[in-house]
Amino acid sequence: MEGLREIKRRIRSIHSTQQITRAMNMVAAAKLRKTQHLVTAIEPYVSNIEELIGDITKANGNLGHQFFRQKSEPGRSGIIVITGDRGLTGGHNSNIIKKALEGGDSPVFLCVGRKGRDYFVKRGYDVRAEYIGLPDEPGIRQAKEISENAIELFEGGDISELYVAYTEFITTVERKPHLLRILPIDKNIFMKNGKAGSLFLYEPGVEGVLNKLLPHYVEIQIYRGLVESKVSEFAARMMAMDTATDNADEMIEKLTLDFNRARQAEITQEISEIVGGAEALK
Amino acid sequence: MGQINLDIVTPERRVFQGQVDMIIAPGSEGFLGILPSHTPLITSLRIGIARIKNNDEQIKVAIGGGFMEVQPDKIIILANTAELGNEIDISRARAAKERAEERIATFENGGVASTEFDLLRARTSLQRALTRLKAADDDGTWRPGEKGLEE
Repeated sequence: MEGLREIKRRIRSIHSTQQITRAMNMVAAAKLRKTQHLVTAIEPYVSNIEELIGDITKANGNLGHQFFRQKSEPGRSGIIVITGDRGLTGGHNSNIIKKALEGGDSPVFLCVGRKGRDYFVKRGYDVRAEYIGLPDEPGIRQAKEISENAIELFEGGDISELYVAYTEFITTVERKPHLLRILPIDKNIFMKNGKAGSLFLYEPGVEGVLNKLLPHYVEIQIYRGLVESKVSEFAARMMAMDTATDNADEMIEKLTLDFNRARQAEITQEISEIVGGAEALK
Repeated sequence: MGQINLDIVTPERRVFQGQVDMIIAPGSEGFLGILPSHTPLITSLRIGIARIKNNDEQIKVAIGGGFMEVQPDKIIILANTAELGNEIDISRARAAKERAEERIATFENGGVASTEFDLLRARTSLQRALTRLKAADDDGTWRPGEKGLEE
């Protein structure tokens, strides 16, 4: 059995670790509460923009915009991988990396978050861009930067498809990694949703509107990925740190038991030594 | 005269929803006044002020570019950013305006490491800041006794 002092030292060390995990749990919970509304706030915007694209595609049967067009010969795919900058989030980062790796042969990666960047760079993957230090509340501005780079790759022919790998936030305990294709845009989905027969006036022309609207739609999809992933990261960290705090409690309990047992054994031994000594003197 | 349902949404929140008499929006080709039963129309919007008219009231909204879909019974504005006039933080908008002006000035004096792109961005943020100030009924000039602005 370990010495009393050794056990005491370990209890103290676990206790201080527990204080850290508890603090991290509370910080993550606070951030989660602060950012959670962004996930629901984007919904009406997304459904409206999809309806708008639907109305346009429905009213104009043959739209030849290059964002709709499937490249004739399949090329490499580009994947925007959204991870966190830091760990201690349970499986959050590794799950999304695993998901991203499903995205075809020799893809081009655009990494959001230090964890993903480190993973793909270390293993020699083709990483074209990295975005580290995403704020807790991602804005459209960050999404715009990423989408501009990605669209450039798409238009330049470097990639024939664009995906975003993000973690959907369902509830605090339920999160799901997704690999979503955002380019080329599947016109058929919109064709179904659009209201038939509305004839629209366009300013400045159908092409002019689409040239602005479709890149913006890509941007919004990326923005949604950023927001969902960020909120998921906070939830994942909160859960992981909650478990860690509980585990620390368990360990402390067990060690305290060991400590008491060892102490009792020591006392018993001392008594028997004294008794033995007294016997010997008789 | 009837009213039409107006919805102004941004990715971050729903800014306005309700029945209005009329809206004047900053279309990319010029301002557009939309009344109920307008022909279906889809247009992109530039940075500028939208005016919502309701009874005798007028609400100004600073729009940071976006799209508008008009149908006979409803109008949807998808804006990158949108703020109602009375929500705008004037001191923040002023600070943004000054920052942008400074950046443009450094560029024009051949400042450090500025690219065309940065200049474009600075111009856009200047435009946005000026729009916000205008929507908040502030012309950007310094007036003594700031408090008078809010009335």
